[in-house]
Amino acid sequence: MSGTRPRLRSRTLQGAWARRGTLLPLFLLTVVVVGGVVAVVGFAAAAGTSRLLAVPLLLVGAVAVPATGRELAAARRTEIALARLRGLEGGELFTLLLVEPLLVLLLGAAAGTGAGLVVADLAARAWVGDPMGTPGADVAAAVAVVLVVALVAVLVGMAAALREPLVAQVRGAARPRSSGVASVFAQVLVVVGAVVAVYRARVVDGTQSDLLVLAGPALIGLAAGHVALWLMGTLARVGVRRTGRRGLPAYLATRRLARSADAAAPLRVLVAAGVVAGLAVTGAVQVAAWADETARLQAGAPLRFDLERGAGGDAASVLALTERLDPEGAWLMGAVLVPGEGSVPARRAFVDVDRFDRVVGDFYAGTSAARIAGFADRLVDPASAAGVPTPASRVLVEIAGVSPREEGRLRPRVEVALRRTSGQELRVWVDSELGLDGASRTVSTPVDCVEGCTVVSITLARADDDRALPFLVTDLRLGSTSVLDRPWSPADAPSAAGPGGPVEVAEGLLAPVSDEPLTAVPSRGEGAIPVLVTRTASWDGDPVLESPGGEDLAARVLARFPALPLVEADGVYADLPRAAAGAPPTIPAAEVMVLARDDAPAALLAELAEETGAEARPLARVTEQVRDAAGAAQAQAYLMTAICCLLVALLVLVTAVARQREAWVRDVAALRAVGVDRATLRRSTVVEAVLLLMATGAAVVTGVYLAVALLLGRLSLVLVPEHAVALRTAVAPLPLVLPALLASLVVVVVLWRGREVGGRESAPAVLREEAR
Amino acid sequence: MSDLRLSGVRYELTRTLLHDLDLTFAAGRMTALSGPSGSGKTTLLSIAGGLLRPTAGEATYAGAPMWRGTGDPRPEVSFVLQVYGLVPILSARENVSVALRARDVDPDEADERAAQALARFHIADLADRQVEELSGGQMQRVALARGLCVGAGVLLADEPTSELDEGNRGLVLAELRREADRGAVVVVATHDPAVVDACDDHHALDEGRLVDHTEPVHLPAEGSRGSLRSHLDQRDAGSHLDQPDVQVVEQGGAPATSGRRDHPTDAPDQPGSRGSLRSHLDQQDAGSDLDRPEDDDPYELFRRPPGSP
Repeated sequence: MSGTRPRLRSRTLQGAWARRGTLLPLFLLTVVVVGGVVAVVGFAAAAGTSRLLAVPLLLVGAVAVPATGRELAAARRTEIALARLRGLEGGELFTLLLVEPLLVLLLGAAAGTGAGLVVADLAARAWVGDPMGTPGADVAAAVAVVLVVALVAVLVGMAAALREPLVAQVRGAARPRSSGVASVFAQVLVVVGAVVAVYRARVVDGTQSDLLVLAGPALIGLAAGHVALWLMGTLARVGVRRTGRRGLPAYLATRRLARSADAAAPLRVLVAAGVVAGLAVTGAVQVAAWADETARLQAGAPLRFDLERGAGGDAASVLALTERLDPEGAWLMGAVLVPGEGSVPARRAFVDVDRFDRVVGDFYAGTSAARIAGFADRLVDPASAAGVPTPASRVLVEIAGVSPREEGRLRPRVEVALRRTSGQELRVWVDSELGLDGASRTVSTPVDCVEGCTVVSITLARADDDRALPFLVTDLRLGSTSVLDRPWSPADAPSAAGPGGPVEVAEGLLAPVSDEPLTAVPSRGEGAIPVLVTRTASWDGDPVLESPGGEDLAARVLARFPALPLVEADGVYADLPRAAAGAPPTIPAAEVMVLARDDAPAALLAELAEETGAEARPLARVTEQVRDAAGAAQAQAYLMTAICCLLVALLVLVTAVARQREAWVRDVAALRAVGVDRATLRRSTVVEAVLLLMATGAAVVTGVYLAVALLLGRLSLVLVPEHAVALRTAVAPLPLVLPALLASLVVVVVLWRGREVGGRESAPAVLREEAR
Repeated sequence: MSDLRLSGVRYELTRTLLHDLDLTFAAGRMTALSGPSGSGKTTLLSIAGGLLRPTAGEATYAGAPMWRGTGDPRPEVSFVLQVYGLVPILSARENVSVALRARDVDPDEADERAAQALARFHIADLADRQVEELSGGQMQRVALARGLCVGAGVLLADEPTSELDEGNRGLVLAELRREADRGAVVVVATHDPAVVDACDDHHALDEGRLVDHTEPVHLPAEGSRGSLRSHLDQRDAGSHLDQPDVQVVEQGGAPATSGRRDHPTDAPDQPGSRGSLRSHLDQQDAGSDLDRPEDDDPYELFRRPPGSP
């Protein structure tokens, strides 16, 4: 008794070795499927994404493996018959049949697990930046699932051999059987599964991974493959009738396509893999584009320096800082983002739009905010340019009389109220005396505005006992900046007593006749502040812009955009100097930043970094942060699944063609024996290849289109943050066509290589019995 | 039509399969090629048909070599292979039609002739069945229909009756005879003595050598029966047994055709016709056959008509 076990084991091994040609595809399939599943699950664990992304690969493998099971059963047909004659049945017979494939599956699983772990680690290092770490229980569970599915699939494939009548099994070669009820049922099940997956994609929460939705692309691909094969078979049968009077190439090709069942399984798997690949490529391209757009909108410019409050961290100070470090406005641009909550208009961004073209340029090209550059001029108020804090050490004033006078003294005083960037206010004044001719006089006084000051008001007065005669301030400069370039308005409302303050005239500021000092303040511009808004912004009533300090300002909407810099898909966008002019201090919740060009002088950037203590955030880092936050690695994991599906399909196709080769060689020999030449047979292969290429290509294109249109948006390939732009899930031409071309090319190349037989190899003499 | 000649044909692989054979297969005659398994019959047919290149010597037909350099047979050659050589995914009719189309026969005519050929072998009802669905005997008849319908100058049949019952065997032999009567060279490799009996010429092979060039078997016509009896007497006296390597082919046995009564070429049943040839002659000598009209001659079907070359 003990001697039977070693004999059984050696018999099993001998049998396995004898059938190695049939078992090798099963081994390789197992390696690829297990390896792919382990790689995806391992990478998903490292990247924090869903492990269920491996489901399409499991499904494709489950369709591919039964074909190998049928082959195994065909190879062991005689052995099965003998076993049944010896009385083995039921469990004993199953055990006999299972030992070999189980052995192969275990070996394949071991090899696949090792390969998968290596791939997962490499992918994690490349895309996540960290090694994979110790594989968890989910990897082992995934391998076990694959093994069970594969074993069941092999059994399903063998089941037909077990159901075959013993008489037929003993008699000889198996007769071809048409598709059984189970096969038809499976095909219908796939189509129904695809429909249900599409339905579930509409009803489930898009933020959670759903098993059926994730399997959807593979189901759609299998269904497309079924339809394509059915269509091709129908057309081939029509072709059989129509080519009755045509040449031999078409005659032979249509009959092979119409009657050869061996083409079915590989093409189904290839189409399914092509659809999964098409959807994965589309998803990867769309996610990459989304991440790039989101990063550009979030960053605002190629380089971003986020300032701390107190380190130049408010609206006025950041404008002064950029004015001081970059007076020309070629490299730096101040910006403020207030991530207000509660309403879309509460979320607002302010940018020194006057510098937009030079600093940002075409940075937003390709994003939803690409057209914003065309509105820059309309956002900027010329008056607001002068509201920018200006460094200065002196205030210079030029005063003149309105006209010569005959008598009396005229001693004007010009008092300028200033505000430093720190918020501290100071006043400086100059006194002068105008002669009887009224000729202009220029006076100046020192002022401490090294960091920059803005002019808050100008007060014009006279000495107490002077005649209340009018005079002009023709020029007033803070440093080198002319203060009178911006508009000024009387501080008080006009009345019967007078205009309420100095009046702007062509020559400058006119102090009208008055015994009282007259004060002028900067004009806020004509009408409401122009703004750009996202499509989600709305107000109850007239548009209102909250300044960086929280003050409500009348606003005028110039245009609506899908998304805007800094505020992304929700918010308002306005010019910073204009909105900040005269505004209260910036609220603490505001994010103050300096945006810079990536080719700004290094010394300038270093100086900026040193002054503010801020670190430059290049676009690449922002992109990485966006991808990490959104879980964009899911798209990469899905791409890995797609690549493995394609490998499985290639393996199945190559195996099928190789399996058919012997029969093809004999067919060629038989046809050559009756006078059909090799050129005719090559042409028939060309016809067959063209038809298969068209069927495969059309099926993949259709499947990818349906999968992308119906499922891509629901696959949760990326977690879109609040306020971010939505992921575009439209069908793109290249990912639609590329998998179809690839699948068609694979079919043609594999078929051509498999059918290319040498003259001697396929000579009619091979049909001699002695040659067999 | 020409004879098929083999001159000094030798064929070697790991061993010599054919040893310097010189043979002529005459046009208009059926030649049997017999011998045990592995004697080289199929190899000889393959060389004769141009499928194999001989190691030495050559096979020629109408003055041109049979070997074309590619292993493809000449258009004048038609095979009925031992393994049938049918294309599984084609139907029976399509398998036959392809052979005609390959010879540039119009497709409609090819289909029609294919149907007729299948009908000759009583398998017209299987015309649209895929070959892989047919039994061995049915496939053999499809192969025969294909081989015979093209009207080749050389017809090489390898075990064409191995799967057939007596009735169908007679049918096949009748068709082969028709081809020979048309003037074709007909060579049949066979184990079946009845087939050998039905042929005009017979060559026996053993281990790649011709071991016997047996005289054609003719049933004694009027005045000529003695030759057959004397042949048998000589044989029984052992004169042949003393010759080395002689394989005596039993001439007795059932007539080649004993089958279907409804076939016009079937021979009628005869009393005692299933005994040995000697008993058959004894019966003749007893006079019971002298009065038998020629229509009752069981071998009439395969006999060369008197006066024919």
